[in-house]
Amino acid sequence: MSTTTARPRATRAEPGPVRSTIGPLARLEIVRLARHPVLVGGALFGLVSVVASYEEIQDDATGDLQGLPVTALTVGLPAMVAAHLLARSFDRTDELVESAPTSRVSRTGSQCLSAVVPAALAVVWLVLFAVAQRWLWTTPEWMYGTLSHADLWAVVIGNTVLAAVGGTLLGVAAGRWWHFRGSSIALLLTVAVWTLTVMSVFSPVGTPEAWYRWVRLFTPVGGFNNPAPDGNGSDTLTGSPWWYLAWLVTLCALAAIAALLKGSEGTSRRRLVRLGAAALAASVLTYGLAAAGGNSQVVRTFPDGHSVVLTP
Amino acid sequence: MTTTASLDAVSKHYRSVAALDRVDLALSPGITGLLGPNGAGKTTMLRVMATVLRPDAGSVRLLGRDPTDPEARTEIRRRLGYQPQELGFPRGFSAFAFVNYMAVLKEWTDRDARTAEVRRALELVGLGDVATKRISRLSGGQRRRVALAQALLGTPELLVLDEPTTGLDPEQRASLRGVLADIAASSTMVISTHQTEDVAALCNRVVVLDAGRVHFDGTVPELVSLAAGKVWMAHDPDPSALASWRTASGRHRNVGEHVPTGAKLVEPSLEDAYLLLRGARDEASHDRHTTEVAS
Repeated sequence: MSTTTARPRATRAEPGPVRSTIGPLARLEIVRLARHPVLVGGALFGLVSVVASYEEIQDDATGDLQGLPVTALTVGLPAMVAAHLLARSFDRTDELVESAPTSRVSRTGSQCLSAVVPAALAVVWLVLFAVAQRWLWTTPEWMYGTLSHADLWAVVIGNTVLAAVGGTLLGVAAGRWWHFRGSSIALLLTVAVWTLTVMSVFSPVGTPEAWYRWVRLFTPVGGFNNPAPDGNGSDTLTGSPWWYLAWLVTLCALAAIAALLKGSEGTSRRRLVRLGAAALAASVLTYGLAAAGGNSQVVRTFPDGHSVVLTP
Repeated sequence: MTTTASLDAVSKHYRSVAALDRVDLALSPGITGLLGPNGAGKTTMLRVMATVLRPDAGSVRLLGRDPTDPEARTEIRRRLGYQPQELGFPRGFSAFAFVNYMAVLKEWTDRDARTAEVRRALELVGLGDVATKRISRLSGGQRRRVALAQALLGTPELLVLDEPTTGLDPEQRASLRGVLADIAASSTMVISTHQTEDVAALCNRVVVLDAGRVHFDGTVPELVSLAAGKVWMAHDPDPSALASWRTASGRHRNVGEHVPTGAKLVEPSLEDAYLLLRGARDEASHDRHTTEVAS
């Protein structure tokens, strides 16, 4: 006895009226990034680290602002690596996706939009930080030195949400332009070396004043507040936290534009080049204002409330 | 008959090697089979027709449009299905997820319609049962069918398939032939293959490429007729034949120009004709080379 299986007919189907694919594509990219083991692993590591060292943090009055870059480390960096890997994941399928009507710019744009995932994780982190600071920790006022509450928000947002978004965008940009084996490691090392070099070389002690003021903020994760080396006081560093935040925004824009430029052509390329030039100009301007504005000198604030100006 | 794709004096070089050398071709609805040895330029031609490779010279028109114009290229891609020869799938995707992703890239923005179309395409290639399985766990033949499924989304007007039947078992190939024949009723399809039996079974037209040039362009019977009276069975292999092999009956099938007296001629196949065409070209190039050396 023989059996036959009914085969679906190859009738012509239409995708319907042409609409932008960025929305549906971004939804797919968001799910891919949210499920990426590097990002999930990084976020879980951050959570476990904080829970495990909770008592230590609670006892250390200087720990809160210092602890903020942990978001950049456990969300921003993993998001950067995950976004880079996802941006490169279609490298071997490039010829096929190229033959589809959705442009490379739209594909890259939807990958950039997946930055909402690490941004949401950073917001959760931010909320937890605010809750902990309001009800769990007892941070003395002097710990924030001469920083205003508004300045504190700029520092907090920069080290959490913008670090997460910027990491993702940088990952996508590098994924579009770097196509060599081990590029994710190279990216990670580049960012780590960049940040750690600036942070360690340009310290308030032993660095010429001009160098310190103009170069110390040239890092994607910047601080404006340090505990005094003996723990007896807090140093407020030079620069303007809000302009620094604005500079970080321009860096995010530059990363997104760099990612979108790859494979763009015609009008969209010309538009992107113009936008890139504007973002670069804004970046130079905001960096200058971040370095020149705000505190002009390092100020140490002691627990009794009095302050002294330090060099440089 | 309407021409849906045309190549006019198209050339493409990779360094000093001519992958395509002033190729002229006009395709109409139906299935065209591309035959040729490795390195003949088949994949390059298909890549040009899939709008992913620009020729160095010559002009291409696809579905009545010029693919060098960005807007026209997008319009062509809306009506194009392409299965590349080599396809490395991104990690972590199931068959459904990958075809679904491709469907979004092909502007299936409505979720319900897209899901239905992805299921239909996967069913068409016989992957309905393994749609949720990760591609990395599928066999080589199944992976090729995933690649084919995305090409069939929306039943495109121009379908460019690079070795679609490679790695498929006989049942799968027979089933696929049925699917492709259905689609070809309303589409223009170009298939590159090394399987002459697929061309014989499916294609109403065959093009033989070699060294980037078209060496034959006609119907399957026309190509087969080139071998009429040039294929014979004998007890022994004929050293002067272009090709000779021992068949299951123990006799030798010989393909060549010089039929020995008293040899029993048999009906040629498409493969015989292809071998003869290739052999004639090799002989011609050998003679040309000898003449050039002598002079």
